[in-house]
Amino acid sequence: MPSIVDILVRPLDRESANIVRTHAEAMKRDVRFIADNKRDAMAPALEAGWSVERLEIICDLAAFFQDVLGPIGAATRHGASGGMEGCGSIYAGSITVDAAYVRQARRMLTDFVGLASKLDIPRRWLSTATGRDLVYYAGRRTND
Amino acid sequence: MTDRSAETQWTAVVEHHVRRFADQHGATYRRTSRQASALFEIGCFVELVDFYRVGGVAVTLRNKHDNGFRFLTSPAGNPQNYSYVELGARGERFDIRQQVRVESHIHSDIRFTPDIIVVPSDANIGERRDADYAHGKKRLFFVRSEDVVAAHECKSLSPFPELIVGFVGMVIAAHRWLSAPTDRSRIAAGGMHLAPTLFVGGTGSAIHRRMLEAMQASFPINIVSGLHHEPNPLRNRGRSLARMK
Repeated sequence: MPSIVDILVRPLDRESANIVRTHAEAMKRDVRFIADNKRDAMAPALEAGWSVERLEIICDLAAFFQDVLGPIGAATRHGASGGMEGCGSIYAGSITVDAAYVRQARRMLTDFVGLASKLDIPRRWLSTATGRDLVYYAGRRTND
Repeated sequence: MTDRSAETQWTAVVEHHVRRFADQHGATYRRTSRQASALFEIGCFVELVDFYRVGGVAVTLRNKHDNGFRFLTSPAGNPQNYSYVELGARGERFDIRQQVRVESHIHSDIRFTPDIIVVPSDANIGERRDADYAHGKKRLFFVRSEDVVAAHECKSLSPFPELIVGFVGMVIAAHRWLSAPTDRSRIAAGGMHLAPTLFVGGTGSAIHRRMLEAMQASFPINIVSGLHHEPNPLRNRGRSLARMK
């Protein structure tokens, strides 16, 4: 069965997909290390209902969010014209950021955050830098 | 329900949602890693322009093309062929440009390309050929650090200590006005310009955030993190941002 990250990266080119997979795997290694070697540190997350398997899935979602969706969110936050009214469509090399793309991107980002919310995953966890931090946050059940 | 079956069911729910997401939005997020970096730089650029607009500075788009504003997101392009933003306030004019090489006052062979720079509008963008650059076949476009008001850098990463402290090196090499690394003499609460800023996509852990605060207190810089997900990151920081006269 494909992993969550495999499903998400399927539309991407190989290089981009590997970046996300590598990032996710690094986070998951952190989680597994803590689970195998630091049971006391893992215990709060387990008690809060976050199993190792669930945390690994969150690693997949977080790596995908940071590597793929985050940059798109940064570029489309202000809209196609944002602080530059009247500029119309925008090129950046081979990419166009126009009003239509901004609408699609915003819908996409809303859906992804909504997906996480349905799974009771706080938005802030999607920006977690390491698996260690994720285990910590999951145990505190806090956005900090 | 056993724990195992609960886990299996949860995983199945996740897979269902994720498949639907990928089906619905795959075309929107199908971007190369280079395009993702370019998108992040665009986001930082637009954020910076918004900063000036909110501050009451006149913003004019220059060198637009038929299809709109043409961003430069690699060091290889001729800056004159790309769009830029002109700022006007208090009788002065400045330009916000992307990917223009800076030749450092420290040594003329120290040249590097910040993602975004702010220079006076009459700053000269020099060009020369160098046998050690593209075998002399391509021109090197650059401004001198004497002309740099602020150089900004964009990193679509989570902040980590080496990234953060490395930014200071660029600040030292890019700004002739800096008399010492911790020279905060140009920092002024009502200043027009944003101090040299490192834009970072991720947020980082609590101990990293402490480091960001310490860096900003010690050097004439801003480190703005969370651009991947935070709406209006510069507006949100308001008075806590370091500005320059």
